[in-house]
Amino acid sequence: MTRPRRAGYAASVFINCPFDAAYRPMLFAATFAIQDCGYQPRCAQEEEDGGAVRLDKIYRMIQGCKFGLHDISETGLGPNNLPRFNMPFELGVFLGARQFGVEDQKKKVTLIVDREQHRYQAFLSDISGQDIRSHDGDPLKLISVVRNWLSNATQRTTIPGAQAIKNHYADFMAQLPELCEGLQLAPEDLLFNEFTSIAYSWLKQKDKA
Amino acid sequence: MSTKGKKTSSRVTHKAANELRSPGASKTAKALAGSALSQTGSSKASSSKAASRASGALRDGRTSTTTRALAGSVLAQSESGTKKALKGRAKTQKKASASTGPESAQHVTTRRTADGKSTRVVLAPFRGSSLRRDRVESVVSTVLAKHKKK
Repeated sequence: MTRPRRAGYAASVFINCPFDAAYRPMLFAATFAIQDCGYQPRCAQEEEDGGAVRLDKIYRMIQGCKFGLHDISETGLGPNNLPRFNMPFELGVFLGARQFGVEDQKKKVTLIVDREQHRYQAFLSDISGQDIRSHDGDPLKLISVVRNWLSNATQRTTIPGAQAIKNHYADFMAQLPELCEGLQLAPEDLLFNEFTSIAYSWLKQKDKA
Repeated sequence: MSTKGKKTSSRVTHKAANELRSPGASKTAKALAGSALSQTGSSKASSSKAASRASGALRDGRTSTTTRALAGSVLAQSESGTKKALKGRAKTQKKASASTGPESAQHVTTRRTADGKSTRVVLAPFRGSSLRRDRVESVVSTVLAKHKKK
């Protein structure tokens, strides 16, 4: 068995998004697209160490990623009638690292996505001028947005086309229930690390086939 | 000056040129960039001073990935630097790994195929899951084979 290849800073993508069940199809679509483009998705959910200070974990992760995908679509009021600030906060940390960091940190590349194109102007107008795209709550559209962003941000010629990634994703999702059954998992309960492990193996074997 | 078989690659040449133009680049980075650029298309070996500077840069945990790439290129083209470089790199990786985890592992996302074309490489997840790798690979293989037959 060959040794798995892991990424360094320049190939790591920090995903800053909601973690609730309703958002999972979007998270998994973005994660799959990043993996299929040859990058490594990183997300706060990959570490479930209760002992680690959450903010330290986020700092460490942001420091280790050149790319940042920030979804600010779920910043509305929560069940207790208070807004959710985590995503804009982590976006701020990421932009701050790019602004005030040294060497590689200055090369950070950001993509901000929202449900609608100009909705952010009503609640986060300071980010005008950044790369902001809408996904309309559609996982397939998010795949295109993520793929085009990575393709434009780098000089790589090996990134598959958006349609190819969408086709891979459709095939993968169609086979996921069977894959989960074989691994004695429930598709709706898949953890981030489990999803990335299965997707990694699937993409790798699909490439060889 | 003695000669060696390697030349600075176009990728490193591009990085070196950017580094020389960058006002934020460190003195070491610029010196290494200069050394790497001077070996573009040349078969001359790096000077011992450049090799020593490159070795130091690789040992320093704070060195950026660009400077590391330049240092690697300079050392690879030095006469006696290969062994030192490998040692320094192992040490640096150990140090970086202790502070930031395995994310400091090699940046490998493309690979040259036998016919000279580039192909993208799927990267392993940063953190493994509780799933056994061989088990996942076996299940994926079975399901893919089944769907291929269909």
